[in-house]
Amino acid sequence: MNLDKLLAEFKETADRTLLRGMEDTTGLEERIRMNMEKKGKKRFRFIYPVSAALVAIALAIGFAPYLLQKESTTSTHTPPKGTTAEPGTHQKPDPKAHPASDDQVIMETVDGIVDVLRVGMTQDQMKEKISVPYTVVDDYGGSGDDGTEEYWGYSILAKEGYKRKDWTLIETEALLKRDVGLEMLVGWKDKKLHWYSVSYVQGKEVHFLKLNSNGTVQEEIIQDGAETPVPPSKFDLKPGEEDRYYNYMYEKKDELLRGLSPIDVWKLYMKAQQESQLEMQYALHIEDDGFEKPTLEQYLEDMKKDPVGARNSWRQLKTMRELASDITLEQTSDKEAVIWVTFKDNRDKVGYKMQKNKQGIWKLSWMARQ
Amino acid sequence: MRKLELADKSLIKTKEALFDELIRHYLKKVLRLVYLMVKDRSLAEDITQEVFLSAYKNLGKFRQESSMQTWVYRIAVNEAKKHLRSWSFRHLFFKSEVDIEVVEGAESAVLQNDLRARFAHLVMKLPHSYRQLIVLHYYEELSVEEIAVILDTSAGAIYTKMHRARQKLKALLEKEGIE
Repeated sequence: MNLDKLLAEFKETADRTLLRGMEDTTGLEERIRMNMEKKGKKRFRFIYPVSAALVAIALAIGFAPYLLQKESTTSTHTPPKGTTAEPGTHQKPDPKAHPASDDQVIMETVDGIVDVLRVGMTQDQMKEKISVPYTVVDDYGGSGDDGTEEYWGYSILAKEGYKRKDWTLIETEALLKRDVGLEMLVGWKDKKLHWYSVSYVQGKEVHFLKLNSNGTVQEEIIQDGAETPVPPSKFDLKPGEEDRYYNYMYEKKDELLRGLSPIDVWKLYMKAQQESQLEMQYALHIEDDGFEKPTLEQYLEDMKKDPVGARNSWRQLKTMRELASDITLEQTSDKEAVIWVTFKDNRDKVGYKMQKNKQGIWKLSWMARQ
Repeated sequence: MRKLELADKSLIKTKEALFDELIRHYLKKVLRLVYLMVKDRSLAEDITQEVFLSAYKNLGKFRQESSMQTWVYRIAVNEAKKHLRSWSFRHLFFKSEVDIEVVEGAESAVLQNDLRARFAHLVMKLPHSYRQLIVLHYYEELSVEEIAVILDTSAGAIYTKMHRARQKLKALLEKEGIE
């Protein structure tokens, strides 16, 4: 059967095979209409009682109304007149409870922040998205080696009278005492958002989330004022492999990968992901004809646009590291292989597609499902 | 003031009516198109939802210079591309070439032996940029010029890429011993 004939019949064949069982879209239509309604209602709910800037927060971040209350008094910069809520324009479900005591409110606020803030955002855009007051932090304790020129600190869901003394350390005590729900430090370079970190409380734990300047996200639980050490994992590199990792990280020469097995290469990739080394991850993806691999610049820019995806990736990696019980190789041909990771809790195994490039070096498939 | 309110209301009504039309004619088509691009049903549904929410938001900007189909397909192609390129999509792990449930079922034994069915699966194995063209041209039956508008490129570029896509498909067919 020739190609033209097969292509001419492709529509009918696809309907009968690939697309079988996709006729009923009632549920999807309902979902779309429900989401449209939700968005409409949300807009209506916030329009009347609060000012335009707060509408922006409520819509963009989806903040609970708690946040519309008077915020921390530590701040030296307040939003322009008219951007803070007037007393009595909102209501809390329980007047005795402070929002910093509600884990869900805190988590939703953190999720909202991750959703709306992007590397490269201007200070005006920031004020539009987050209209709570901020403090210009003079002494952050950072070296400034990364080019950060200016720091803004936010104490969000803070009790009245709460004042942060300094921003050099994570305010674990105040967070655990629920004097404040979350604190955010924003680093600026050329008046554009360079990175931010958020420390927040959940139960008896203090969490620390950072959006790095390359768009990657790291999230840890803080113990005794420091990040929890990464527990050993099947993904860990042996000393010789670590040397290879750093050599490749600096040189990006594929010859350094010659002779390595798909699993060796994959482990380098996982380490690069753990270390937020985007250039290295990019270099470890295959670049052969027919693969729609963007340029490095485009890839790096894309990374900055998807912080929610970056956070999900970080969480997936963390879970995988913690729960991986075995890593196996399935060689599907001399040029293709799948690396399977199985887990202690018997969850579905996951696979990474590996391909040998024209130079005979194993690389990760650009899009795992291609 | 009253006049303005009425005008507003009639505008809303028009927008709603237009959106209903869009859903009625294109929901299934967009879902299928997106699925053929991303090869994952639940993701295709999520993307389709985003396509229609975005279409609703931008209905005011739809100036009917292009057909509604071209307009909504353009949104769909861009949304799918956004997902394909996104960090989160690439970290969705490899599981199989196509959702398993699609090829399983009462007729699966027959389908497996069907050359045309095997060919359809080969199309799904093509790299995204080639598969997209095959789907738009041979499944959606769009002309090269229409595809060029949807993909925001020239007809010449589409012809060239289509040629490559066919070559790649031919090579796959030979490898599988179908042709």
